Amino acid sequence: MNQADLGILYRQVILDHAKNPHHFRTLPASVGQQVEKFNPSCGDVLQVRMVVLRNQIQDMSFDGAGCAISMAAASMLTEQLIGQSLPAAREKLAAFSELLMADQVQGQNQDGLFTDESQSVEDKGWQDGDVDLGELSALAGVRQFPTRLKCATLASHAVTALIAKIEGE
Amino acid sequence: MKTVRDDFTILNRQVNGHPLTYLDGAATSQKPDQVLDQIRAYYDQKNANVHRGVYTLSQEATTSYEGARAKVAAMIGAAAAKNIVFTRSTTESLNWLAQGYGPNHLEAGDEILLTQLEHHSNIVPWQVLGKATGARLRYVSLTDKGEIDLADFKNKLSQKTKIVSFAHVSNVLGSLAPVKEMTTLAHEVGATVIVDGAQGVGHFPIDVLDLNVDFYAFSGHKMLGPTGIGVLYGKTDFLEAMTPVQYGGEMIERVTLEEATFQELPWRFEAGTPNIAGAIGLGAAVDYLNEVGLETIADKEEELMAAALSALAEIPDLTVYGPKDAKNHHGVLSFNLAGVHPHDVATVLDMAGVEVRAGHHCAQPLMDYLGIQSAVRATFAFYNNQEDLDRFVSALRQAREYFV
Ligand SMILES: Cc1ncc(COP(=O)(O)O)c(C=O)c1O
Repeated sequence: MNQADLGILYRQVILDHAKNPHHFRTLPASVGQQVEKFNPSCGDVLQVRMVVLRNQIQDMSFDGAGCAISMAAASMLTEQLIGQSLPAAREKLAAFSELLMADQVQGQNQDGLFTDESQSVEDKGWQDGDVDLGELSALAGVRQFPTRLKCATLASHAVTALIAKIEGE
Repeated sequence: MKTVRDDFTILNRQVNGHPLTYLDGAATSQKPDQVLDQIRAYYDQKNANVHRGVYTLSQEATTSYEGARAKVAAMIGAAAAKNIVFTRSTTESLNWLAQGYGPNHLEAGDEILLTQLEHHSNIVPWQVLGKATGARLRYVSLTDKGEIDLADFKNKLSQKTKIVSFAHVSNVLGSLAPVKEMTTLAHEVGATVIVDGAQGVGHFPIDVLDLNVDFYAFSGHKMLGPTGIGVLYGKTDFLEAMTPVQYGGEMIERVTLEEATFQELPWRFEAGTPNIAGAIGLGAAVDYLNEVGLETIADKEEELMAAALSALAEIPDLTVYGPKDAKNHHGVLSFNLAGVHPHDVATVLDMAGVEVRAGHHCAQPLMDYLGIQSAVRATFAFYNNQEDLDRFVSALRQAREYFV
């Protein structure tokens, strides 16, 4: 096994977040709103809770079980979103989604191996206009592991649904 | 020396810079050249629609298609070829039973008895049927060893039980159901017995007449055949009591503007142009299995399993689910490494060319029962070898080092 290949997916910052996830706790049911999402391929369940005041995210928490990728994604996402306005949060979510989808197909050569171009995006950090994804950009490596995309996006899908729910009220 | 591995071209390829170690035969088996060659030969030499033309080509295609049916019948010990209905898969066979046999044989208050270890395809069609008819679903629990609890089975059987359906071999635990015993008990209360043989056929000899089951479902692609072809075996009177789920060409006898009469068994159930190449490929798979020998296959799978179980016992914090003896695993081995999610294990293994399944294996009620969300599953087939096992174990150790 090539440890360097694994390192493309499991960057140190991801392993750190997975081991010690931030905001991994249960907020009381009386606080804010919650959404639950399933990863149908592995059965993982993720609950995300968010407290919004005057259109600004005051606090977040997540709960559930997941792989290193989905735990780290949830942890880093809460880190990036707390304190943001809802429109800014939506922008970050869109940029994150683009980060994971960007040249996913071109990035792969015929053998399913990955070309250098796709790696360079990750190395220079992801910048989409002026949206700063911070540590979340470490997840760019997931593009090279398409079977793990669902793990990386479980939390962001939950948060997107949660914001829609909150804005709908 | 030539080995069976030489028949599987795919085993020569590399994955992520390593020799392919394919350990996911329970999801779908690899296909030997003999099967691929027959499919090619059909298209090259005999391609025509079946049961239609009076011309030579159509006759040859029909002979091959019906020949495949006879081969399947002989392999599972069916009374006749007409007891073999070609479907798309196990899933389709079970759905046809739930839609074509279930409604005629159930009333509100009746019971359908399943077990806690079923694949979703042997749960969901019955749930839908239960909602439509008012019949109630019940589930037999498992023993600590992951085997069907016969005492609980007896308790839950009653005059209300109309359908009993269970897996011959669990696709997660590898455990074998005591089919004959369960069938006798179910027949005593007048219930119809359906067996999901997806993980049984192709792994050891099967004799449906001896088992005395009423229906038996399986998939070609899990027994060296191509995808898109499956089988529904039924005793003659049970197939006669079933309504077709699809209507159209091939399955009719005579059609007027108002009505139609239907063909004899088994063609009544095969509406439209069937998967001719698929059936021929399945027939070739049966020939191949017979040539290697189902006893030989069973022995080889057990031998690899015994070696795998003792290798895994050496890895700390690793839990194996299901029976602890190789005899009752039928090639299927599910486990978890404490503190490492199955997806992460599978990705690390994949980087070493070792292909295993991670997830809930379409058996979420069983996962709930085991108190887990998911597991890693490695399957050992007769075309795997000691080197596959060694690469698997060493990658597993690396996964543990990487994450724990
Ligand atoms: C026990 C069992 N039943 C049913 C199925 C469904 O088979 P298929 O997907 O070929 O219809 C499978 C395979 O996934 C299985 O392992």
